[in-house]
Amino acid sequence: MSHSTHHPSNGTRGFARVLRWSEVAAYVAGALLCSLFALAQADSALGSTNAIEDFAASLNPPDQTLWAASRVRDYQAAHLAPVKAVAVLTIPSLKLEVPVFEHDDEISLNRGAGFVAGMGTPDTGGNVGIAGHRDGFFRVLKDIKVGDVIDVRTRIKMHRYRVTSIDIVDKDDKRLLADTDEPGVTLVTCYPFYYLGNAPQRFIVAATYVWPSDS
Amino acid sequence: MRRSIYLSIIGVTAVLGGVSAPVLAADCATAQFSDAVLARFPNIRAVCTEVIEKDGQQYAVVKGDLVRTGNNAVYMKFNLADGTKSDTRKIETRPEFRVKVDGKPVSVRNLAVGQQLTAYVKVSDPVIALEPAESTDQLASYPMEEAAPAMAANTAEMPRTASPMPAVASLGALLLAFAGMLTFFRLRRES
Repeated sequence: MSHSTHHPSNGTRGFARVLRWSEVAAYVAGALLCSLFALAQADSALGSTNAIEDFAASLNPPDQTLWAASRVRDYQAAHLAPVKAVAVLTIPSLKLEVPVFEHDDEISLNRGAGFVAGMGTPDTGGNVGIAGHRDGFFRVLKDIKVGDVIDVRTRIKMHRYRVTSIDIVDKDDKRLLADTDEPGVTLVTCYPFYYLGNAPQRFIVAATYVWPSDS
Repeated sequence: MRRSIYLSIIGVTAVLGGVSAPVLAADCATAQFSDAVLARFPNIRAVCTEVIEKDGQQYAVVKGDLVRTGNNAVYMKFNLADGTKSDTRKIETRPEFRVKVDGKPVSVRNLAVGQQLTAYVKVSDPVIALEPAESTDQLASYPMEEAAPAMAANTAEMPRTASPMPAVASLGALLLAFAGMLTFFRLRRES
């Protein structure tokens, strides 16, 4: 009586091994990428909240006259975050409150919005550029309307702007970033709001200054 | 007796008033602005709120909003009598010079757009000075410029506002799905 058994060939065994390693590699890489995304989301949420709290605290620093020198040093060290908010942007109609950082680099934009380099600032005047991710804090801009109020609180004072125009431009069209005689703010984010990869356009919200003496 | 008391009170009041209040030799309508001032600031009478004397010179007091701050200068729009604002004027100053904002002394380097400032325009010469924080501080007068300042050239680049994170998450999910598919086929083959 013959007894036959099935022995896989070397080629089949090799293919199975490749598949097995591919499976493990795909699990590891997928888990790493998803973890990276989760970390970025956590950093965005926590970083934004902490930045706003730090900014608010910096406006009213505690009385340190009775503190020990070491305690003052520790307090100052704790507030020397590498990325600190220099303003807070609020759009009441969209229930948006986001810290604004000095630069528009990736870390800053993950935690809030950032001033566009080469443009003005709320305190010094001119056209102030503020950039944000369309898939993050600035996604709510899809619902902004002409006439909406934009508040930017700096360490010196609160600046109020009113939206005058909403434009969608090519990603290389810098005309709306040009300096202006009147102080104003220009919010910039990518467009379309729901798009994977580098969006081909920019969503631009322009707002002019509301003078305290006029309001 | 009563009459002499009244006279004394009137006399003391007059003396004190003369010491504390500046002598108003003119008002905005009658001030004799020089031709040079009128050439560089044609609507000076419309923005003038009063004329004061300081260090023996007459100055028109003008108030307005800070529009921009720059290197050793601030830019202001002055309030016109009809409620509108003048064109933008540059006023030279120093970063450490202190002015009064909302009753508090603030150095020029810490000023911000939207703050209300006061400036003095000399009636006889085309010079302008920010009102110092203390009335005893020396005025720092600088020549008035004729026109609104030209804005600086724009150097801004369109920011990159697309986060790579959605793509990272999508790729991660695809890899996990691919791995799950491989596991499914492997288990089916092994069973």
